This record gives sequence, C-alpha cells and structure tokens, in this order.
Amino acid sequence: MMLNELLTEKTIQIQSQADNWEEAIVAASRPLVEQDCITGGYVAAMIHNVKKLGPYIVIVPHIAIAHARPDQGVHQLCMSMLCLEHPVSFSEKEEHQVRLVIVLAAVDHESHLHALSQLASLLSEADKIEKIMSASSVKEVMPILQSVADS
Amino acid sequence: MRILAVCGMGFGSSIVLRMTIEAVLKETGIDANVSTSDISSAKSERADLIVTSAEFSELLSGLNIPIVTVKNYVDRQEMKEKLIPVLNNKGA
Repeated sequence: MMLNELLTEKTIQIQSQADNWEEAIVAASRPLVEQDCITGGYVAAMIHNVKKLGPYIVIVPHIAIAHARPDQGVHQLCMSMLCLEHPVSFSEKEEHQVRLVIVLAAVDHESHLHALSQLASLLSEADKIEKIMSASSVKEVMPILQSVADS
Repeated sequence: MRILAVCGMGFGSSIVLRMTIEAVLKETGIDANVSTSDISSAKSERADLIVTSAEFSELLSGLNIPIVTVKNYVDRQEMKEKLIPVLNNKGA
C-alpha cells in the first residue's frame, strides 16, 4: 500500500483545535473507526500507551504518530491524519506542541512498511510539512501526498 | 556492530528510526546491522548501541551500552551528529 492510498480525502481532516491530546487522538481516529478499520479499543490503547510510556509518539517536533499493536483492534491496515490549526500539548516541552496527529494501524510487521517509509520521507521534508500544516482544505494536502508517492 | 532502534511498540516509530539510521550508515559508508525492538523487550536484546527518544533512554540507562537519544526521528543531520561519534568510539 502506498501512503496516498491510506491517507486520502476520507482519512485526512483539518480542524481548528482539540481540547487536549487525548481528544486529538480520538478525533484523528474517527474516520477509521467509522469505516470499521479499527475498533474503539484500539483508540483507547493508543491513548493508554502515551499515558504509560510518555509522549514518545511525537517522533518529529510538532508531529505525533499514534499507534498501538495490531492485536489491539485493527481490522485492516489503515492510516489517518488530523491537521490542527492550533497546536495541542502532549507535554510542556516546545517540541511536544503538536499540529499533526497521524494514526497508524498495522496488521503485521511487514505490510505497512512501504507506506511508513514514504511517510518518513515526507516528514523529513520541512517545506512539504509546512504546506500540510497551513493547508486550509484537504484538497490542498492531496497533491503533496501524491508528490511523495511519485518520487 | 549491532544497533538497536527502540520505541514503545516496535511497529511504528522504531521502524522510522531504523530507516534514518540506515540512511546515515549508507551515506557514511559504515557497516552495521540495525534492528528494532519495543521498550519491554529491549533489555533482553543483544546490541552494541541503542538509538531511542528521551522518554526511553532513562528507562534503558541501567544497560551497560551507549544510548543515543534523538529528538527528531527523521532528521538525518541530527542522527549523523549524534550517532557517528559514538560509532567511531566503538571502532566502527
């Protein structure tokens, strides 16, 4: 699966803000739960992991990749993205003020690797990330994902 | 030389970390094996060096091997600056 097959107009959302980081993970997950790709239990597991292990899911400053284990409620490989106009705080540190929450749900150790490597390459391109963060519509985000898939 | 990339689950962030480490190794021509692990099994893995985030480096500090802590899992420049001196120290 390519990144732009997983992050689509159905799974990317833009919203102004979230009350707290738990709400941000719930909101980011909503399309995947509605499409029955993950369970509510998976969402709870992602939140539990951060409570237990800390905000390590903020793997790039201002960007969180929320995930739990495949056996915690994943029906099919899927991904979603929530862009926040106003950051939500995962800790008091500056780099933990998050504007992009990406939900990753893998079914095994292998099938998500291609999309994940495309995501890693996207995250390393600051100009593309800036464009995504400042996009005012999901339609503006799609060509950026397409460009990652093409390169 | 065996490098272990550690995150919470072993499915997401540690794999991203491995990709960045491998890119830096390729760029610098250093030969090393990179594997991934979740935090709970990291202590029983054999490794010469661990790369992880600040949250986990404290949990792993009891191990008698060097730990490289990165803020940005996809930043090759940060990885190079922090990882290469440690690898050189280890004779890689």
